[in-house]
Amino acid sequence: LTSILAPGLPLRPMIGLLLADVVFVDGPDSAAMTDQERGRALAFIIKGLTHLSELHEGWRAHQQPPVSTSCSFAVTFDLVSLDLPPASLPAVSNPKKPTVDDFNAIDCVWIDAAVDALGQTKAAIPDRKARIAELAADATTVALFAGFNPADAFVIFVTKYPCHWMGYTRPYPLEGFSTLCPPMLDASEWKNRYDLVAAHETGHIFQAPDEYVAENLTCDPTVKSGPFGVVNSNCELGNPTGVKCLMKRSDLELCSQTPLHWGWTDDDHDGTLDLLAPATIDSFTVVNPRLQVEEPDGRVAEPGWTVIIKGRNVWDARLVTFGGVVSPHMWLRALDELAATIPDEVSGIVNVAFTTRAGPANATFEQSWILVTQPAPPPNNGPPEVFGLIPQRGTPGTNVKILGASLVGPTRITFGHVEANLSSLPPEEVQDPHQIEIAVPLAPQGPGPVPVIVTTARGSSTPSIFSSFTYS
Amino acid sequence: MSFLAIMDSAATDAQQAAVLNTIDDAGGKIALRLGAHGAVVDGDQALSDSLAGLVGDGLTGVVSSEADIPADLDESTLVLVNAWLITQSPAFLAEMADPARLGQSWASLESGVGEL
Repeated sequence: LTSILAPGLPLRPMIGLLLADVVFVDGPDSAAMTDQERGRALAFIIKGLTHLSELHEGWRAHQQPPVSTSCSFAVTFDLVSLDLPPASLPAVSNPKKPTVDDFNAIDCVWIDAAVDALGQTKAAIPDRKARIAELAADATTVALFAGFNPADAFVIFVTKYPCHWMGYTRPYPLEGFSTLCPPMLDASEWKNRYDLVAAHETGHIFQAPDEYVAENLTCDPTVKSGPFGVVNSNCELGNPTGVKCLMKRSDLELCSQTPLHWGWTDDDHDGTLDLLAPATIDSFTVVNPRLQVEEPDGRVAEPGWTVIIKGRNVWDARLVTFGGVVSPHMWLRALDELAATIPDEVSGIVNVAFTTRAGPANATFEQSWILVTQPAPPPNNGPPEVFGLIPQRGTPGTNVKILGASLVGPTRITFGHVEANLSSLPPEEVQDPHQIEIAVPLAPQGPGPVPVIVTTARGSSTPSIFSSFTYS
Repeated sequence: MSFLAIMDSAATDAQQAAVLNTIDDAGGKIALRLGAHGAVVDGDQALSDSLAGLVGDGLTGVVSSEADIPADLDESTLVLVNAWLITQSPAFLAEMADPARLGQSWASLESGVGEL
């Protein structure tokens, strides 16, 4: 898989190889951590992620049929040493009920300084959320054991700097990180239980909500979370039938909702998580950005234009390529709708491709081709156009795909002056305007090239070098 | 049982594949990856012995205890290996075995401004 993540994925399923980038934020005086303290914190985080892997193994083995292993973790770490004196940070206004102002005045000071020190300068990326996403993405550029790249990465800050609270997560749509503050944890009943805290907080990173009621926080059984918008029905609020769950208490068990919040479901019972099914390309829409004109089912565009790709699991796309050239800009319009700009250097009939954590999109050339030309001919309801043939060479009887535009309703297709047999074409109402598949007729002469011309009620295509078929 | 496999940073694709195949063939699995070179492997003694046979041929070490740590391990991997060894120590295992750890309400962790 590609190592390049799209910053700010709209969904964060706990699926694939997931990298925890533990960022130790060290400082002077009371913020100084010893090697021993770092090692112990790292050990607890390793144990916490191991708990999650084991929960996944237990869940997947009990599905009917059992689902293949779909979630594993990796750990790496960064160490940042700041000059920032911890005494320069203010105290929490009310330790039992800290506020966003406390978070901004305390945690964000050392977080921003740490992210700066790791190379994510404010000038380059002014938004903290984007900077932390980039920090996580940077961690994925190193191949892990046996050459694997992670599907997603997340940051866990560990520090002895003052924090507004001992252990918390800022899940999407917030910044998407967790923080563990060992001194505060040590001073609480969570001493020696960081592993459970790390597992619970990582559960939040991947969009599972809390399921408990506390003085300052009440879970809401009606709130929808995760990629499928599943309600939090194991929330303990007025719920005597609730079950044990990692997101409710420090139990290494799962209710039926949390796996769904993490994206674990196999509704088609094929043994593969639905979100791990390879992406598909169902259709293109071509957009001329100058005119803001959209052409549904368009197959012709110019460099710099936008192509909207519709299909399954396109939300997880990382790189979009046109003929192997990486698109300079891609963005999501919906979970099943991805837009990408056609690179300037692309020309001719090329295939559009992209990769998700499940691997390359599952699309044939016939589904993924597009003609990039300058200037692009305007969309028309006039005569058919032929952009190319697959294959371009063969013998009589060869099935050839004619790629083009306005190809619905052919009344005549000629190879040289010999007509192809149209009786095998599907009914007009289901014909593809961009593609005809037909058997090559007998050769009008010996071996060599002949023009292929498609005629409809609106006229005939104009021969070109792209519409030539060579009899061999 | 669990142990660590440490990949040689110069391991070829073929050598890496051989390590993975050895783990698969023995019914083992990679439970967790540690940095660029380390992996926690769940498997039996026979698998550990098989992987030990690949030291010098894709792997730099198979680690179950501090004594097994390769001498020339890079600093980053060493930190991760030592952290994993802590999780295998009797003191840590004793902490994990405390039943009072489980069933605690997260309410006492609650009150920050994210999800807690």
